[in-house]
Amino acid sequence: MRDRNVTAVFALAALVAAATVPALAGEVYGKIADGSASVGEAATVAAKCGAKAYPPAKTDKAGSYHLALAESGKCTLTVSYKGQSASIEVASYDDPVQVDIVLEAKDGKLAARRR
Amino acid sequence: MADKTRDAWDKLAVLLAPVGGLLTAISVAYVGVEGSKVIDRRQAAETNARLYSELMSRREESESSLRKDMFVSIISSFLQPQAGDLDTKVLNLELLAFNFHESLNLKPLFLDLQRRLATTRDPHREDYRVRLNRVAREITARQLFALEGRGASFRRSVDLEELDKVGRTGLPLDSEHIEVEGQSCETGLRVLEVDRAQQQLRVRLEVRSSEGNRDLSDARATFDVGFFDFPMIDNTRLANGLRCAVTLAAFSPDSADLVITCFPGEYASLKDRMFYDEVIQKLQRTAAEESAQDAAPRK
Repeated sequence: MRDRNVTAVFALAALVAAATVPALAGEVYGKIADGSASVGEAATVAAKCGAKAYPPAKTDKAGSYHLALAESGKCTLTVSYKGQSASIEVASYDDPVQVDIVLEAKDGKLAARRR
Repeated sequence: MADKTRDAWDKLAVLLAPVGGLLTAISVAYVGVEGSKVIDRRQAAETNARLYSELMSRREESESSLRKDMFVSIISSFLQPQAGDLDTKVLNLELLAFNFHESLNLKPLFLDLQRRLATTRDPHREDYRVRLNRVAREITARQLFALEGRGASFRRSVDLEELDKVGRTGLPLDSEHIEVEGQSCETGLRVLEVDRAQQQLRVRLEVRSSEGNRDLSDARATFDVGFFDFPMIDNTRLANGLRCAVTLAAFSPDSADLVITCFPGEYASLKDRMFYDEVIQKLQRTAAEESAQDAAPRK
């Protein structure tokens, strides 16, 4: 009887552990362009996956960015550039995923689309 | 009597006659030496070029022979009816993929091995599956890297939950204007089905000519895309000589990422032969570009 209880406790502990282990990390990277020209170091990219928000990462000289996300699944990338911001829906996977973004002005507002 | 009639000019002529002869002789000798030098240099360059091409063709021959032997020995292991151990089969497929990914469509072998792994009770089957997937993704990444440098590409995410909701009509993805070597087209994609077990999508590639461009007729092709479809090998031939490939970059039960790459036909696999009209079109384009370049500096 005691053995059975111990087994049940271990099984429960294993289940709890499995439920609390976070999903494998996802990696999102790419380049940001303003039309056909690179944004250079002038943009930042922030991500929000479910309830978790990731701080903005700055683009480099070539307009490239890199985000390491702890979750895989649907995420929103928010690009801030020249005082405006635009968002785009992406998916994060266990494998790295390339998301190149083109920024365009639509009706005076910044819009982002994937390239 | 004759000596008395000679003036200064006659004396100068007498003096210069041998000098002129000497100068002519020197000029002829100089031209001869320089000419022979030029001919020697040209011959040396031709000899070097011939030697280089001979060396290259010999190297190519020996490499082809080596590759042929390697290919025959590896492929026979797959075609033999007796079941070999999975480790050897995975290793052989890795060898084939890394050495022949530009010339062969290896999808049937990948799928065959995937099927075997799905039914086996081998304790290492998960390791083999991971190795298989890693090879496929590495080859895809290498080919994409090469093709994106020569062509144009774009990426799209597919919401598979949304695809389940829309059903058989499929999910259209945003089209993109693509321009490669002065040729432009609108490239769109519609995702029709998903096979989550095989990690495959059925897609319809739609390529339309851009406004004002009548070189390209509209083209549609429906096919399956999985991790074992490599862009250099598995692509759609367009009427203007370009090729467009759809590649699966990432997959999860909820979403998938696709890469659409369009590139010139000469960068397709070695097994992909160009049509004669494509070759003629290419030659005409090159000739037109060259004449435009020649005409440019005169302006």
